[in-house]
Amino acid sequence: MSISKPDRTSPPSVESRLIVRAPSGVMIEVFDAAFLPVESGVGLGELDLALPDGLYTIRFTAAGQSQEQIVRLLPIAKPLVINGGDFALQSASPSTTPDVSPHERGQAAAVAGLSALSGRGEHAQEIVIFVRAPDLRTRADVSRSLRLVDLDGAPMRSRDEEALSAAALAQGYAARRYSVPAGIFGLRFDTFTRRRVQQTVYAWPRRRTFAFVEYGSIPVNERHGERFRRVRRRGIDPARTVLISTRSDQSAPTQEALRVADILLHAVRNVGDFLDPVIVDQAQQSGCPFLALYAAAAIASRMELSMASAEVRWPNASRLRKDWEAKTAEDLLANLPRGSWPDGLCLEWRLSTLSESKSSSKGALVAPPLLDCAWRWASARSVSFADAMAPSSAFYGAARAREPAGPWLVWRTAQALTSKGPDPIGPDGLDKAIEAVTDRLGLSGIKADKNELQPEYQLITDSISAKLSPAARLTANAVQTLAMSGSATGPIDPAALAGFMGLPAAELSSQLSATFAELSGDEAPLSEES
Amino acid sequence: MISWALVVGINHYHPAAGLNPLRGAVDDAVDFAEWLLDDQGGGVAPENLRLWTYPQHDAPPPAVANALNSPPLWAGDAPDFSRAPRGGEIRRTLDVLARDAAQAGVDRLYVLFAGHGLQTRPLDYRLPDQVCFLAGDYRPDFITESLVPGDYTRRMMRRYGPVEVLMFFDCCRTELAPYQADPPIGGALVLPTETNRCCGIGLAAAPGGTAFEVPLEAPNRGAFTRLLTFGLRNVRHNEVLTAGQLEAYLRQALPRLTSPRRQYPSIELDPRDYDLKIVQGPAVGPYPNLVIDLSARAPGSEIVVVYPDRSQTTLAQQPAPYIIPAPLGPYAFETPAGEVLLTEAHTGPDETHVHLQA
Repeated sequence: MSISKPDRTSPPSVESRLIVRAPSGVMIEVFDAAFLPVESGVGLGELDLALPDGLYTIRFTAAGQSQEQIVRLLPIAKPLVINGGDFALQSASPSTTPDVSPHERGQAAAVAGLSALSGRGEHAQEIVIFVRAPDLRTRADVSRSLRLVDLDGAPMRSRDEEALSAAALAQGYAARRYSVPAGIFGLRFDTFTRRRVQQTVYAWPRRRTFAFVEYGSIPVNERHGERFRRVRRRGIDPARTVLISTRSDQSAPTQEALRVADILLHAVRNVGDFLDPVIVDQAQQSGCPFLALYAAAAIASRMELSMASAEVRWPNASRLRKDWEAKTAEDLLANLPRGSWPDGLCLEWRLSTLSESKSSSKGALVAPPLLDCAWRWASARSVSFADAMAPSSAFYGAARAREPAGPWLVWRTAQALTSKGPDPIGPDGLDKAIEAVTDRLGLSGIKADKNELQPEYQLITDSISAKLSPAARLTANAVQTLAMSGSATGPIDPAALAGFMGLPAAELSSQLSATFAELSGDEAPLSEES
Repeated sequence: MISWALVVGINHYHPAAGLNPLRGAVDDAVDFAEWLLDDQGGGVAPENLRLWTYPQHDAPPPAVANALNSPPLWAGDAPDFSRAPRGGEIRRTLDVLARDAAQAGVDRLYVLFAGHGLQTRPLDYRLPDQVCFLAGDYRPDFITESLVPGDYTRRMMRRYGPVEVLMFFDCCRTELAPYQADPPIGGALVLPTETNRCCGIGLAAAPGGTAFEVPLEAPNRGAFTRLLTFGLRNVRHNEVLTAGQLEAYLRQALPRLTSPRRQYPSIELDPRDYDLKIVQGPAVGPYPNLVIDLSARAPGSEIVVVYPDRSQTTLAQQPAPYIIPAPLGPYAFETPAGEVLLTEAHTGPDETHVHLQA
């Protein structure tokens, strides 16, 4: 076979029209043949571009997933229309997009089939839990550890268990239905890290809550004598759960509603990623309180970053952005059903803090919220309002035994049930505790005009870091991060530290005391007189 | 432009680490080092290149061998090439290098890590999931010391690094079991020097993803670094390669190299809108071949090949494939009447085979 170098001709360039369409929440990017970006946008519905004929690559991105295709724009008058962005997102909710497996499509049909089960329960509300296994080979009862409990921890009884079990196991999923009064419940299960955990779930008045739970796996190292072997542990991945609701007289949530939920949950978890205003509008119009909460939380999280002058992608930037954010978040919260929903209260607290409004809602949480960010806002609130959280074991568990499962707040139940919370502490006590740790870390006295390395500021070197317990290291890292952020000229705000670490005031004080003791190399905790 | 560099490649970890041996990390590091030492490439002087691989490369290219003859110190200590570098050594060296480079007026600092990696899942939702390179002292029961964290290093560079920093992590981002501690922040604490204008991080995989070695049936190179060095040498527009172009190229090319496995790379700049020109100069070449098989087409028929620059060539059907050295980019294959039969990306580094049906 021989190398060819055929002659090439270069026809004159002709301007042609490229129209790219994608659903809401999908970013469209167009690149030319030299890998250079041509145009991008989100929330526009379509990009309508006048371009020289030639070859282009179009990328569709949603919730961290991408798909690309090459298009040939011909030198003709008729526009080239490309539709894209219809691909499965990494989610626990089953999808019916063209790229999913027959197994997943079968599970989506099973979800729809749940609504065909006849009869209503004792209450007008229902919680349906759908546990999805990754493939047909996982035939074990994936829901073995799953429990729905009320606020007192009493387990609820599921309906139609036998009928659901037989059909479900054949398809590699498990389902439970619970008829419940409107209110706040807890979902307990074993994770793939073999931790027994709990998260909050709501039963909205006259609505059916769907909880899609993913049975996943994670690689961990298991010790075999002196060596380690990497194995995969299976169990529920708490970060992949999707919560959504429909009216009680409606069937299963639509694929579009599930897609909106996936995109919004991704936006809550990944605050630096783009947020499509059209998706927020869809959440508002859907009537689903979960979607409204997610949209409000996504907005509030981005408002925080704006306040901190962080860089956030906002393709439709306008000077009205901040006004839109504040008003939209308030409108979303106003549409929640009446009641003491913890996430709603946490969001009101945060929005009033961001707007520096003095008219913040009073009240206290009756249970830990759904979302991790809401928990942090509640923790910050607890510094000035000691009664923001009830001193119950669930709150203690959420404070001291959180599992990384963003965007959800998930905590280990064993510690919650067996542990007692620390004594309350006032704001003055927190200031002193933070000052003591800051001083021990050598951070005190950093002034804005100093720009040289001072020996006494050398801290958290590897040797110190290696000696601290994981909790103390996290505390020291948090104190260091806040001390060095921004202008770094004043003392650390206790509310900021509480929110950053997700520790209510009493827990934060306890943790600071323990960290001080470790940094001091003795067992004596920090006292009020220190 | 004055540039410094730090490059690490680890194939073999301690047996107690429980990690599979890699086959391509050392070659990846040496290939990148060769590009760095090239005046048409990174333009790094040999005395400013810190390269540490384990094991040592059998036969490094002459320029790399020359640089290894008198290696510079790593945070004041001579590197011990009989073992892999430890996490603390790498972190301390990065810290010292960042400050020294800023004070010496260095324009750019390059960093590459090739080897095993993981990703932490931080409790704080505002912190990004952080990729960590695993240094040679990794042990599953005492992980923290061996971690070289991507995001913390980026922050350090932004605080007191040289004008531009470009880091690449060719390692997996499989998630660490959530109850493990965060990596140490490391680095001395100083107030910002405002020397650094941009820090870019190139990541081989998406969060939770795997960075593959290729070819899949007999791997010998990391897919990301293989394409990275090829792209640095050959992707240009008007003799310029920007970070955005490089990312677009990697995102188009990598899935084709690792297919059917999925791997999604990225290059993130901080700040996002910084116009980072990585290379200014002609492509090194030669272009990889485009192999076009028209044997299944009707005898006497013709195909029009549309090149990335819009130029066209007409090929007649023949039994033997056409082998054409072709510039990188997307191609279209049309009938003379203008009907598009196929589009295909020619992204290298190997040949691209196109088979047109009847």
